Amino acid sequence: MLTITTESGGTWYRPGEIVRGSVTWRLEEEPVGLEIRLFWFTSGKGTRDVEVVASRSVERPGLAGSAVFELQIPRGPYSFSGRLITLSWAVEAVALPNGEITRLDLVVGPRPVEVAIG
Amino acid sequence: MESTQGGVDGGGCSGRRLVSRGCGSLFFAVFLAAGLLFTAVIVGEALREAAVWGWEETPCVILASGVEETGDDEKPWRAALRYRYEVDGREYESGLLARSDSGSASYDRARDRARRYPVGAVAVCRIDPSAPSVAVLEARPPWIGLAVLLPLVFVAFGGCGLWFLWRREPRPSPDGLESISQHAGTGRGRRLLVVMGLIFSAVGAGLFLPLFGLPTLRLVEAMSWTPTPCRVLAASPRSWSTDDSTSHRADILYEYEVAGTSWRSNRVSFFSILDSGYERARSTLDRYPSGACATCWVDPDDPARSVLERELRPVQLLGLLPLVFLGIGGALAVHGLRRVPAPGTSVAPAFAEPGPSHEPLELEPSVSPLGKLLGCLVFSLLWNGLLSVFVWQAWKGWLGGNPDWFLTIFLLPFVAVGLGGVAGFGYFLLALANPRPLISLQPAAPCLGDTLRVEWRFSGRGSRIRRLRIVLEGREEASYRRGTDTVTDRETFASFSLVDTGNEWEIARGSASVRIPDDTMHSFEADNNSIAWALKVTGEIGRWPDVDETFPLTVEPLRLWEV
Repeated sequence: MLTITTESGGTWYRPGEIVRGSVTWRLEEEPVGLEIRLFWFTSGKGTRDVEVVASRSVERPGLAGSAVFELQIPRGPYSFSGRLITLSWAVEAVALPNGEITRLDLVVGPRPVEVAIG
Repeated sequence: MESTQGGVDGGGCSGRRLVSRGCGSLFFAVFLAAGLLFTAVIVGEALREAAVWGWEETPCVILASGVEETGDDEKPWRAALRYRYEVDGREYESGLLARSDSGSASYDRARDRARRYPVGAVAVCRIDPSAPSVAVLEARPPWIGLAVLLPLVFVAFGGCGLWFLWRREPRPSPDGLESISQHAGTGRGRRLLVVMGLIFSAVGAGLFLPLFGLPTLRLVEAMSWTPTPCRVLAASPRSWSTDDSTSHRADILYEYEVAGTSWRSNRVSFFSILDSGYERARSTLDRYPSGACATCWVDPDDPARSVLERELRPVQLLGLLPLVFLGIGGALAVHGLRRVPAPGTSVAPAFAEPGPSHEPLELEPSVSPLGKLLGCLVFSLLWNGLLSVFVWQAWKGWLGGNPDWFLTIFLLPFVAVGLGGVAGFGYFLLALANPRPLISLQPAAPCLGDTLRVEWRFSGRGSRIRRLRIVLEGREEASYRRGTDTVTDRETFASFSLVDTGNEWEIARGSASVRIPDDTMHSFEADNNSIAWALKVTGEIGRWPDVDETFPLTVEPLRLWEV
């Protein structure tokens, strides 16, 4: 089991802010590493684009434990939703090489809701 | 706030999937095995060719030197050599020029090889250490090894296919959640595009040079050659089987005299590759029957070099077609290079903010009128050039009273597209004479919430424009695969009119301002999805192509202190 918790308890972040939080895990198989990634991805009509903008690695995490992370949000892109494209942000924790994952969806932008266009 | 672990179906390993994986494996394994087999054969041959360089050298005396027929229609001429050498006190004779000398289609080439070894000369030959009776005069580079590239494509295809089928997929989370971030782009796709583009270009150049480039250079060189009377000694039709057809060529052996010395050649034209084919071979044989007298062109500096014809015929322009590969490959490579992100960079806005700028920015159109014209010209040339081959076939049927209706009807839509290309070329040619809008922007790097000041004027006769519209547009663009095509859908989400006027003075020069809302989306560009902002300028001109240009601009996110 993997869990991501943000320090603020919220999921809305303004551009330039730092996402602070922690990941806790209790796994059945011992992973060789654990990676925490801040990324955006698109969904909708177009082929999916994904970009990891910041990440943090935990080496030899063991079967159980926790780690804190600080990942900075860039100026953009904002979370938005249009007729063709939706862009979303998330933090993902992945047990490497092929283990469990968990994801926390975020909203990135000047307002606490995604930008609606179209 | 704690993460939620949603239910995305991870997909089970069903029996159907196993069957499809098995079939796929068989398919790719056949490619891999065939590729490896041919690779082994070619590499083995290249190694044997290279081994000749290690054979022991020994002096040999040339006993006979000339040109002989091989009996093979594809390569009918060969240097006929005979030489004697000695190994351990025992004399041997051999006639091999090189380990793999199967002859040549060119009499000149066979003769030039023989000329290197005149009778009585002492040359150096190489002796096979395992069989002293086997010797060659020349060791050649193992160029055949380059042919390994072809089976390696099969190996790569088969190997990649198998890897893709059997790679270890990330195991889904117990709750079925799959990682999205693992699909983050690494630029591999773009790099592959660059490699593919370079391969395309290399193939294009590799075909263009022997088909058109080098023959044209020789043709230009031959323009200064001397006309010389010559006599056709033999006119032989040559035909040989290829993989799926029969090739034909006319072999015209002619003789001429320069300064009392007789020379022979069978070079009819420099474009020998494109001059093959039954009809053309027949026509050449009719023009040069055995015993006929003709005029050939002889190089005054080297009388051994001559040619019967030095015209550039329309069919030889087919040699320009590989330029299509060269062009497409170049475009792919440039496109790939432009988009390969440097490590650590992002296509999304990072942390740096645009600095304050009071200097207006002159915008460039996305495609200039000349660019549109050239694009249309290239398309029309390629499309109609390729189409003309088939149209000519259909036309010949009609001329001969035996029309091919299926081909004719099948070609109609393609011909319509070709005619559209020609019409488009005319349209863009006229549009070149249009006044050109010059658009400047302030601030140069507008952010969301900024007021944008746009100034316009025209180079050329702006007074020809009856009505001018300038619109600021924000647009979503999403590209996706449909079958083998990549389709891009576009949807306008914001549109702000800056000017819409028929006033002559306002059209000629003016400015307008618009505030970009702070609750909309800034410019964003990724491989397949983007938010694009642009100024669209439309000018109506009576009885003439309209001015229609798009000026892309970048709208930045809000400044961090404003957020």
